[in-house]
Order: sequence, then C-alpha cells, then structure tokens
Amino acid sequence: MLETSLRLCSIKKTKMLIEFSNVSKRYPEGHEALRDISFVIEKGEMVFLAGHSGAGKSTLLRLVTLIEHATRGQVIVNGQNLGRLKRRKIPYFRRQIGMVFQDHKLLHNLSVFDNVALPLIVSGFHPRDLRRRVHAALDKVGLLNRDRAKPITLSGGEQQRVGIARAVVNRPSLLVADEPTGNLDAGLSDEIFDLFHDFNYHGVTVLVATHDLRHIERLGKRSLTLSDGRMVLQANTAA
Amino acid sequence: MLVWLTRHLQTLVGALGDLSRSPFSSILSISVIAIALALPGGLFAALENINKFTSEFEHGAKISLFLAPQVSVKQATELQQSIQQHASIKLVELITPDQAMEEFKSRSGLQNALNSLTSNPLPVVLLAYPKDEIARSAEKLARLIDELGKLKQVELSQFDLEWIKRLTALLELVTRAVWIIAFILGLGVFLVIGNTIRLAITNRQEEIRIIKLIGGTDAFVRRSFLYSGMLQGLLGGLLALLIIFLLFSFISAPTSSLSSMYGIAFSLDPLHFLPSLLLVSSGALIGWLSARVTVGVYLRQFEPGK
Repeated sequence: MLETSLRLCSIKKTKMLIEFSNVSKRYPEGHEALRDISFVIEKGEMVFLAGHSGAGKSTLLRLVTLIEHATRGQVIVNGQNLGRLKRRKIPYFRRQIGMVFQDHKLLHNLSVFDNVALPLIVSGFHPRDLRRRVHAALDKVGLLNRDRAKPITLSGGEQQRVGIARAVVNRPSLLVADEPTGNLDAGLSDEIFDLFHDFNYHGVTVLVATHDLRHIERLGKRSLTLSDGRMVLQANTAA
Repeated sequence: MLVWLTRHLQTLVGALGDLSRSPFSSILSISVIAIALALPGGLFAALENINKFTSEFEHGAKISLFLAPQVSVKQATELQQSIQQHASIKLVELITPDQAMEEFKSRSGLQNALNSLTSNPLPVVLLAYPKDEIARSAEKLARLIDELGKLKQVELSQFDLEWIKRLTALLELVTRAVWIIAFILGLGVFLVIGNTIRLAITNRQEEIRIIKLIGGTDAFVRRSFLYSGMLQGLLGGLLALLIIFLLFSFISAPTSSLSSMYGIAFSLDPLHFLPSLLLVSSGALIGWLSARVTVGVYLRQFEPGK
C-alpha cells in the first residue's frame, strides 16, 4: 500500500511540469490579477490558456517564467518551487524555458542570426556548435535565408518566427507563448500555431495564451480558461 | 578558456563600439575624466620636480660638529671613525684647527690680524654627511643632529641648510594636500563614469530585460558595462597623461632658462613611466569600480516583482 503510493508519488513527480496550488497574485498597486488558481500541466502536454484580455493570462505566464513572484500559493515548474528559488539561480531556471512574446522582443540592432544565437551566447555555448544550432532553429521556422537581415526589415509574421527560433534554439523542455499571434492575420496565425504543435509533437511541453478560440478548436488540445483572475473552465477538447 | 577569452574580447570590442556610436558624449565624458585626473597627476609631477630640485641641495647637506677645545686631533680622528660607523652617516670629514685657520685666512681677508695670534683658538671640526634618505626627512635629520650634538666631545652641532628642513616639511604638507585633491577628484571621476553608465543602462533597458528573460546572468549583463566603465577610465587616464606632457613641455623651456640664471642646471621631468602607468591604471580601476557599483544598484529593478 505504502509502496504503491510512493511509486505513484514518484511518477507524479516526474510527469508534472507545471503545478499551481492555490496561487494568487496581487500587484503592488492593489490589482488582484489571479485568485486561487490550481492546475497541473504534465510533461509533453500542449495546453491553451484562454480568456478575454485582462483575465490574467499574461500574469499567469509571468509567474511560470518567474518574471513575477506569486503573492500566495505555490508554483512548481520542472520540479522547482519558484518561491524558494534563489535570485542568482533564476537565469539558469529561465534557460529551461523558451519564451515567445506578442511583441517579439527582438533586439533591433542585431541581425536575425545574432538574435537567435543570443540564448546560446548568454549560456556560454561553444562558438563551434553555435552556428549549426542557430541555423537548425532558423530552418525550422523557415527563415534560414534571412539570417543576415535586421529584424526591422522582416514582416510581423517573420519577426514572430525569429522570436520562436530564439525560444527553441536552447532546446527547452517548456515553451511558453503569450498571445504569439496577437498582431497577425489568420493565415499567419495558423502557421505559428502549427509550429507550436510540431514542437509539441517532438516532446516539448507547450503553454500558449490566446484569446483566439479558433486555434483551440482546430488543434483539439486541453485549455484552461481564466476570467477575472479565476479559473472558470478546464476543458479537454482532445478527448 | 578560449571561449572565455573570445567572449571577453567580443565584449571589449562591443564596448568600444558603444563608445564610438555616441562620439560627442563619449568625448565629453572622457575629457571631464581626463581633466579630473590630469590635475592631481600634474601636481604630483610638479612635486616630484621640486623634490628633485631640493635633493640636489641635500646631496651637499652636512652637519658641522664643533668639538670641545680640549679634544686633540688624535681623539677627534677616533671620534671620526666611530661616527663613520653610524647607520645614518655617509661620510665624515675632519678639519684640523690648522686647516681651518688656513681657510679662514685665505677667505676672510683678516690674514694679518690672524697672523698675530700666538695660538690657534679654533677647535677641531667634523663634517658629517648624512645618507640621502635621512637628509630627505626633516624629522630623521633633526634626530640625527640632536644625537650627534649629545656626544660629550661635541660642543656644538649645526646644520647648515635649515631652510631645506622647512621646505621639506612644507612639501610634506603639500603632498598630503595633493592626495586629498586626488581623492576628491577621483571621487568625481567615479561619479562621472557612474552617471554615463546609468544613462547607458537606461538606454539599453529593453535589451537588458530581454537578455535576462532568455537566461542571461547578472554577470553577463554587467560585463559590457564593466568594460565600458574601464575603457572610459583608461582613455581618460591616457588623455590626462597627454595633457600633463603638453603642460610640462609648455613650461619646460622657461624653467630651464630661469634656473640657469641662478646658475643651477635644472630641467623639468614629466611623469616617469611608473607614475604614468599608475595614473592610467587608477583611471581604469575607478571606471571599473564605478560601473560595478552603478550596475549593481540599477540591475535590481529587473528582478521579479513580489
């Protein structure tokens, strides 16, 4: 009996990638962005985070990536309790996560190649293997021929693909995206979400915040829906 | 090791690039740093020259020991030898009463009057030359004069260059004043560099935020700013050196001609190699420290919110 529960426990531990337990977030100015959120995302899952704007999707992702600390409750990512993570360990924690932003957050004084290489450079990657890894990532998003261009000369969709290449170049176990297609038309949005789907197919856990319900239905993945900082629905359309 | 080296080289080149991207403000702040470093540097160089000037007198610095009348030449010779053993003494000369009388006669013009003397009233005189490091310190010199004056055979000990003693004491004071000026201006350089680094951080806020998001450590972010601060200090130090050399070459010719009018062969030395190196490296060090402190303070704003 004890043995089984121990085994269950260890399986649970290895399978879970993100676990929120009664998490609340109140910003210093008093706005209560998340209230009593609990959920689990397992390794290899692809999960959508839905809800209207201002529902708390971004805040939730900011807690996962440790841009913010939770006010109450416990956030565990990749076996690490983020509330207890030491300040100087944060960079090493973030290297396990690929982040994609609505506004791409590319460095405009650097070339596409350098932008994608940046996560490898900051983690002290050997220059010899760097070129190969960057080209592989750019190839994946279909921008191998644009590696010398400046991001500003690319279209919005292309810039977002550079952002995605940068997010995956480090081969993270978790990919987090906040409204990655917010500024893109439907066709480009589909391409981006298909990319995420493909990464997920290759074993990367993906958590994407979007208000576009179309993708959730199209790809048939689990979704968490937030409204006014509360979790209102955990649906599994995949079933 | 190679990876580490290339990364540092890249950062250095990057920092140089950052400076050249905004040439006007870079030149401005480097000039301010240079002026702040040139002032104490120039003052130290001037002090060095004054020290050199006075030390030329100090070479001739001697203590005259007038021995008691009853001390014979033989006893005086023994005393000469014993003083010669003293650790602070370079050389002791002995002047017998006869020698002194001869010199006195030839110099004073009182030859006839002196010839009428039946006995020589002059005592034996020992001339003690202190070692250079003693002669340079007013305090040590005073102690030596005092010590020699206490010998029982010595009736009077006298130091001929009282004014050197005073000048040395004055120089000591001025040197300390220059150190204070150097400290204050060094602080100024610290603040100037700190301010440019603060501006650079503000300008590159978005870049820092992104680097931290993709897992860049504080050390990684800090590095380019440390190089930038160090580089500004270094370039400021080099410019300060140039200013000092220009100033010295500007006043060098009149100084030589003035001193030659007094019959002294004296030429101005600009800063030597070691003090120059010290000036430039302290500029670089201040720049590095300033950047370290500034970045340390301003990086806190990029930490996760509570």
